[in-house]
Amino acid sequence: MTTLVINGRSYSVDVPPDAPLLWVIRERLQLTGTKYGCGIGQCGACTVHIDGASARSCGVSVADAVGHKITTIEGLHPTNQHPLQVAWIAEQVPQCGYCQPGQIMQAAALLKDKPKPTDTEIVEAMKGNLCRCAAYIRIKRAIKRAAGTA
Amino acid sequence: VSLARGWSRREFVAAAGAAGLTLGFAPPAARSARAAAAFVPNAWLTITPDGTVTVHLAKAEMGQGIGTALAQIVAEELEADWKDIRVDFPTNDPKYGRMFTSGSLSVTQSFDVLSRAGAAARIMLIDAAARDWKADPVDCIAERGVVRHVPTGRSIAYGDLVARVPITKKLSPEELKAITLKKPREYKLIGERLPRLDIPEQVTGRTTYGIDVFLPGMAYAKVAYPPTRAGGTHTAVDDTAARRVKGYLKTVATDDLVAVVAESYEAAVQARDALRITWDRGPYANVTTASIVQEYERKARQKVDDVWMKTGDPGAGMAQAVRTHTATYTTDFVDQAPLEPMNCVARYDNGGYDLFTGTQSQARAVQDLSKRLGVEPAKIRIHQQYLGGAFGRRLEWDVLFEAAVIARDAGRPIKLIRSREEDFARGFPRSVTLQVLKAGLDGNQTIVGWEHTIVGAWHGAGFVDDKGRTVSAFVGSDHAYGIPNQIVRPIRGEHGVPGGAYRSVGPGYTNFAVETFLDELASLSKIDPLHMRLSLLGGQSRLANVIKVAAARAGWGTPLPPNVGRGLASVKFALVKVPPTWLSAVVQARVDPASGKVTVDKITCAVDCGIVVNPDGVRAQVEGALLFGLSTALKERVTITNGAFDQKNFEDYPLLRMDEVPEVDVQIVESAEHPSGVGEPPVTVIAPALSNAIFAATGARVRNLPFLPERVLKALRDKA
Repeated sequence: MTTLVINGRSYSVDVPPDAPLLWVIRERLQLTGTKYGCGIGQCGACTVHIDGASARSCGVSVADAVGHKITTIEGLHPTNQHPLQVAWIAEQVPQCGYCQPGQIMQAAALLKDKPKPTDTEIVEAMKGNLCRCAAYIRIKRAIKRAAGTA
Repeated sequence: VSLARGWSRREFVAAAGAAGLTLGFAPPAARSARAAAAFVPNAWLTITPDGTVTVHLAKAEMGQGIGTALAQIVAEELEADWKDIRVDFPTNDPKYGRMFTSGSLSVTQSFDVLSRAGAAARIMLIDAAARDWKADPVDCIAERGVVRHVPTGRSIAYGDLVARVPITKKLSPEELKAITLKKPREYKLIGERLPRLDIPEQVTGRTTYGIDVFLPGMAYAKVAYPPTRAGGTHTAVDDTAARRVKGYLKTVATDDLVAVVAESYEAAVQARDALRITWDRGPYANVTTASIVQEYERKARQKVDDVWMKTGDPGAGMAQAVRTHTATYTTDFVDQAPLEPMNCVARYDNGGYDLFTGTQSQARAVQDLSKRLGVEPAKIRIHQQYLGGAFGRRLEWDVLFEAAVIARDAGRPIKLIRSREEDFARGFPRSVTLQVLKAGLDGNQTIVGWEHTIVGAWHGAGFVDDKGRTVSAFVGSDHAYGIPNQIVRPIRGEHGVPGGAYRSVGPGYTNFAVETFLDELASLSKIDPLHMRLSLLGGQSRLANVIKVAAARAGWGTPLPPNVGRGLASVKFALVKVPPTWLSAVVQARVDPASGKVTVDKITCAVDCGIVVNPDGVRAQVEGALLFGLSTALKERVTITNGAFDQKNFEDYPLLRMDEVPEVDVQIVESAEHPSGVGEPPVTVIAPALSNAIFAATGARVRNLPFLPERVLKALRDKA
């Protein structure tokens, strides 16, 4: 059994140590806000925080995640009122919405690091996250709104 | 963690008589207790005694915000209070008509039906209140979810009516048809920038897409796919090694497929990979991109009799030309690549199939699965989920079929999730196309003849005419310009690879060719491409209007630095006989002459889609579709070698990212015309506008989509 700490809760799972964290979060623990998009770190749909930094959960093994604090979209804010979640609604960002938990997690890590990011810093931080609906204009606007730089 | 999490709620709602998922706050128990007294005036809405109005959506939600827009249409005529509105996605049922979502048709084709559904319910509620009050219905009005008797001021909320008063009025089909609907100036909800109902769940990760469904006792399945895209079959299967994988449950081998069922996703992958299968690669094992293009070139030169559109006398027109111009345009395979990979959860029970997924194609899927699985259509129940993107890919039901076949043999519900690599390998990309355009010009530079030849493998799940031709594959060649003596010849080019619908279908390439070719003619005639278009439109049409708006906002004609240019393109978009959407865009682009790299700095777009149901919804769709078109035009390409696609994941099939997003200016033109769709039209103008911008910047013409740097470089060399 492997013990993972996710969103402040302990979970015991019986999985091979090399299993990608993504599949354990999604399919074993049913925290389905973390999405599978590519499995090779190209799309960012599976972005979570590990010890506060953004990480692609498809590229992290369960063994490597043990002993670290993992946060998923479900645990980003206790009442789902993270400034980014509020801004995402205000700017009506999502279209299909599938990539959006990953986008929000990526942006949350950015704002933690740089509370007032410049446009260039936003693009640098976010260009690893694909949005096939191409809601990029609003993603950027919502980040600036949340940062108070809009 | 309970495996039943996703299921119990669904079973509850199903038991309450409204299968599907409900966006709402009322606990399921409370709702089901009240459901016996619910008012169900027609297929499209239900009002419960708590006053909740649930609009039943026969359309897929794949990012268009369609649920909110359709609910606005119902609520407008119903005179509902917007805060009482919820939506759900019912399981397939003939009462919803032909269930499909494509062609930018949802609002335009639902508008009248849903307006009348809401109005009919309002009339029935007013009638019930009037009877209860022994008043004349003409003295009663409905407003924000309340019926009011004007002379006395008495009032009753819809929910209370449903709870306490018998609602007995019936409307005949004639009466339904005769209802006078509101005029645009009377609208209270239509035209309002109402926030989308589904966004709060999306930003917390609670939205349930197909991939997020769990059933009790569910196992995982993985299919072993043949090495070629089409026609490959297994001739022998050895599962000795697979059986040794921890968690292995079963091998399913039928004429249709080979799959493994296991306790977990990882175990299913491992066991599937351990299968030893002998494949017959099938009849399309030698297909390559080059062989397809060569075949298309040969076909384009053939004399063909099939004429889709003809005006005047094309032969005589061309004969009176003093000069002609011919150009050939090609487009590569492109993959829809929705970010949610194809998936389906399936349960076989008592001769019936419960399929949990997000699809654009319930009607066709049920029809085909019923035939192939040998059961009545009613035995196939598609439990519709949210779609993590679709773009035409989810018009195909291949994964539903696979899941159903596996579930039938597995003895347990199964979840089938494709990997991204499998999704690319089993794609239904838009076919390679080759188009030849020829125009004749007379001594006054007037176009007097026009020939358009289109070669491609038409997509499945398209709109087919009475001659069995997939019209949606070559529509768009019937452009709006006043050109005499036109002929359009569609030639079907078979290559064995299944053709798919890709957001904007035919016009995605026909409009590329038409609008680029017009620009070439303008250049040959030394006429400004803007003025040429306006003169061909007689200057006054809805299309001319959006062209003028876009051009003015883009600063058309103002000077630009070297290697920077503006290109214009427009579209009249209607895949079938519905009111078209009129759209025009100006793309401003920079070309690096050393590398051939193209950078788009700005897109300026004007759109006339008639009555706008939700302005922010329209804007979001137009913004996204323009950028989708930019992704297609700049970089998307699938190639095929020895019968298999070469691209495996987003590493070699790159999509537009945030660092490539230009400034986007969208202007929505006010109109009181019937509403038309906006999900696809913007896609169709980007490739031609960009080709025209590259020409304006450099004098080089790129006619091969996508405009990869090496193709732009070649065009620059060809010019020199």
